[in-house]
Amino acid sequence: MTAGRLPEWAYPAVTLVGAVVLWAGFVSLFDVPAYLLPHPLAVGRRLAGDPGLYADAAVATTVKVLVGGAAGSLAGFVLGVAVGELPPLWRAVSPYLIAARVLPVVAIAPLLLIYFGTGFATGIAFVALMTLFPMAVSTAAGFRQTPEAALDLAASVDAPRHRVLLSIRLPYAVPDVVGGLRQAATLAVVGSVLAEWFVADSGLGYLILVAAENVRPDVLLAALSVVFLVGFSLYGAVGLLGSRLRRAVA
Amino acid sequence: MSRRQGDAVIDVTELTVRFDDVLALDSVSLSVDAGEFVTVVGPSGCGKTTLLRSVGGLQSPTAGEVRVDGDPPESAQAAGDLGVVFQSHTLFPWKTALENVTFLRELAGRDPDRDRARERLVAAGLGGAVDAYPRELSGGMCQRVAIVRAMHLGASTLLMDEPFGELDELTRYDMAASVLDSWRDSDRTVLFVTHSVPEAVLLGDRVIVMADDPGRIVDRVSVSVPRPREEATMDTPAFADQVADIRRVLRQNRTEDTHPDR
Repeated sequence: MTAGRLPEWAYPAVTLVGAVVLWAGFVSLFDVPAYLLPHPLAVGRRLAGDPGLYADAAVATTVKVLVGGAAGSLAGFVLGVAVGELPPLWRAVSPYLIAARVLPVVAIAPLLLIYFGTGFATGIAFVALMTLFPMAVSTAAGFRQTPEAALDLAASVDAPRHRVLLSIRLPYAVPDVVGGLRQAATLAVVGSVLAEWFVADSGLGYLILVAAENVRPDVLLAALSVVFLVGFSLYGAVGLLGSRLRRAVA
Repeated sequence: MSRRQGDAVIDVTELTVRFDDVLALDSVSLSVDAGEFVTVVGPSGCGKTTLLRSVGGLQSPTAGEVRVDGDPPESAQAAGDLGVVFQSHTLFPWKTALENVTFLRELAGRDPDRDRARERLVAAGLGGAVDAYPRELSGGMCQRVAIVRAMHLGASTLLMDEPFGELDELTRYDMAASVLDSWRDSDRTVLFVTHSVPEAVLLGDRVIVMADDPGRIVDRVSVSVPRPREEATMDTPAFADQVADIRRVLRQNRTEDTHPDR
């Protein structure tokens, strides 16, 4: 009965607390050695002991996510609009856009290292590539959602193409574009951490790499929990933006 | 809009439209005079919608010619002189009723004239719906807004493709009455497609009867039932006779084999 009155955020919070309690109980009960799985409190102490380290790493990762994600999403959106507007272009590139989702972007990483070096630019390019394709495919799909009758109505008054694009096709594409943005948000975090593994200069991914090499699961788990926090916040922010956009055209 | 009295506003000459191996329209000719209300009736797949779309410049002819005000329909489109009402209301869900009404003028590059749009909505009995979104309105109200939108465009030719097709019986006749009212108070030319014979007779000066396979005109009937016509008109013997005549023509021309579209 009272469960029905809980606020929406309470449900996942209960899951989180439950998982941490299970984890702590498991470690204490079976006396798991800390080099295999540290106690959650040990991970918490790691975070609290050197907050600057994790904060700096989080900022480095987040910057890659935001800059690379924005560049990739924007490029993907523009590409999606272009192929959505020009059916011959869609026919020419859609097999490759879809094939690009099968091709692991990690496989392109060595090329990026050659072209952009072992610095910031490579991470940005990698994140941008990760987000570009799903965004392009979703946007193109969205621009194919315009009802025929709406286009007929516009044609019946000989409406200029740019007005049709901006005032009719774009609003009808919003739900798909929002879907693409959500995918991009998730992939940008994955891409950012991956890039930090092979570029190995900064960020949470780099921290995880170093922690693994030194067999420090406490540091690794601390960094991982920050990745989770960054990803969750970003996904939440994009989700909020998305539902606002969707409401505007619903 | 250099229209002279007695001129044909819509002139369709030997129009043929072919979709792959289907002959949607086979050499159809039709002329509609200024201020005339012409209804087109026929079974599904007889090409009546294709005929209307061709007049609206939304369908290119395979052969033959369509002229509106003496020019190809594209000129009338560009001049904002064709108001089209579709079977589905095609209102934009993110715009209010008022915004939907003014939007077509904006698309046509005209002054939206919000005040006049508001007056028209009020006159159409939609005063309470001016700022409502389509999802808040019934199907009949949405279609009413769509008709007001076509009127507000200021086009002298209205093309209506089964605009009441998705409405219930009672709403249909309310809508028909309000379309007749606004037509009588204007000098608009109307081409109105329907599959309902009573609706065609109630509304039209002339009824164009079509048959399918291939899509063609099989009869042109001048409606002798005097105007003004209202719901009660449909109970008169004259009305019933005319409906029966048209139904007989439709039945005579019905194809025996079942059409794949049906």
